[in-house]
Amino acid sequence: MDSGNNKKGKFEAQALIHLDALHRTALRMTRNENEAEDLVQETFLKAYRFWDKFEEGSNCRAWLFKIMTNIFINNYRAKSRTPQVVDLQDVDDDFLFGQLSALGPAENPEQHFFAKVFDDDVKRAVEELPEDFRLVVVLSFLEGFSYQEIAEIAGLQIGTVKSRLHRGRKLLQKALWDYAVKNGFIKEAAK
Amino acid sequence: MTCQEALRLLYEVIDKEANQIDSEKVREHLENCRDCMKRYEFEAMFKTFVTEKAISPTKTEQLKFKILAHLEEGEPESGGFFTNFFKNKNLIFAAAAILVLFLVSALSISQLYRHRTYVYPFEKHHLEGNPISIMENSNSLPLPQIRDYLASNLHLALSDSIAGYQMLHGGYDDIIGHKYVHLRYRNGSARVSLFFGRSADTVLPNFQKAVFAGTEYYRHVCGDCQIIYWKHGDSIAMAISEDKTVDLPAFIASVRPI
Repeated sequence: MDSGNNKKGKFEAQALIHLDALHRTALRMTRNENEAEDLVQETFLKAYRFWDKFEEGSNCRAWLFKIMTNIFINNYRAKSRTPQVVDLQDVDDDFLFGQLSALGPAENPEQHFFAKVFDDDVKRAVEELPEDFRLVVVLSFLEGFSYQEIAEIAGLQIGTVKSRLHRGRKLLQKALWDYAVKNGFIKEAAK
Repeated sequence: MTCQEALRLLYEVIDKEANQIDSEKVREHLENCRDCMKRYEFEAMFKTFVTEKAISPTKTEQLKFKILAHLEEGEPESGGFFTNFFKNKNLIFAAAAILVLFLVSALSISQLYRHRTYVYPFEKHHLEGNPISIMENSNSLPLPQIRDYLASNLHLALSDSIAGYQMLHGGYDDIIGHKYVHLRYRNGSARVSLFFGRSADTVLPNFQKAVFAGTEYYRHVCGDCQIIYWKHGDSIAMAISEDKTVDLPAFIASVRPI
């Protein structure tokens, strides 16, 4: 049995070093700074209580994200538990690429697009994804977890992770295109 | 490999999830197919773009300090009370509840921990029909269930929205036999926590008696924190906010008896 200080020292060195990663994901998931802080704090307090259950040498970062995801799903997610229905029927896989290509090759529309979109619009687009999609997109894009790791963290089948990531990408691209058109960076190609 | 096959593997290759054979085949295809190459480049660029833009620079030093402070508090020598107590609680609830527990604001927190004499407004072992049994390994409960529970056991009606505050989440707690249900409300950055249990008929010191809209209540303000409790039949309710500008009396007036 570890003495208190030894336990705390180990916890600080192995778990608390992931504070920034958990916090940035918590920010995108809760969409609120106070909530994000609470979520991260609850995660670490819970992790500390179960620290003796953590297998040394295994992936501490993934273990912490799993704890945080559970707390988020139990305590923080939006009230409505109706299934999240997303209609993507009219959005092609290459929606954004197609739209930008249609603007013509001369002005290099992709570069123009990526240079013009506001940081805040990207954050907003991520935060406005339905929670199920947002979780896998954030874990993959922001945290670089593998499909297998995301499956374990979120308690999903790998196939579900893949399809949510795919649809999440489409939703993001559609939203960013809509913002760009609305902000006037892009004049929508004549249909 | 056809273009169709190459595009089917698009995201797996970009996410570095495709196996070596597939990745190699895709690479060969892309060398000979400008259209697919452009699409791959675009999707890779898109991923990098979102990753870079969606990460906010975070300031976590204060948070780290708070967490470290709680780790110490959460590990008392003599057993599980505080460990349980800090389970799933945020800083303000912990700090405020300690005040309620001890109500000796002149003593420092560290001194308070050494004292085991505390006052608690909720009666021990007196909340019927433990609602926690329904949820495994969690003291959080679905909101409709809490609402039903409060209505049938404590004869109180709670709505999703009180004075502009939205109900966030809630649950059931059992702290060394003091059982109560908690609910959390938020309005922007202001938050109010509500606690309901059976009255222990304890008059807490340092609380001022007052009346608002016909409801008699007791209020204690300490720094930015305010605590109100009021009795309703043989049950007792407590509201805590870390924001002293929150109009708690008006808030609790909206919690209606049935």
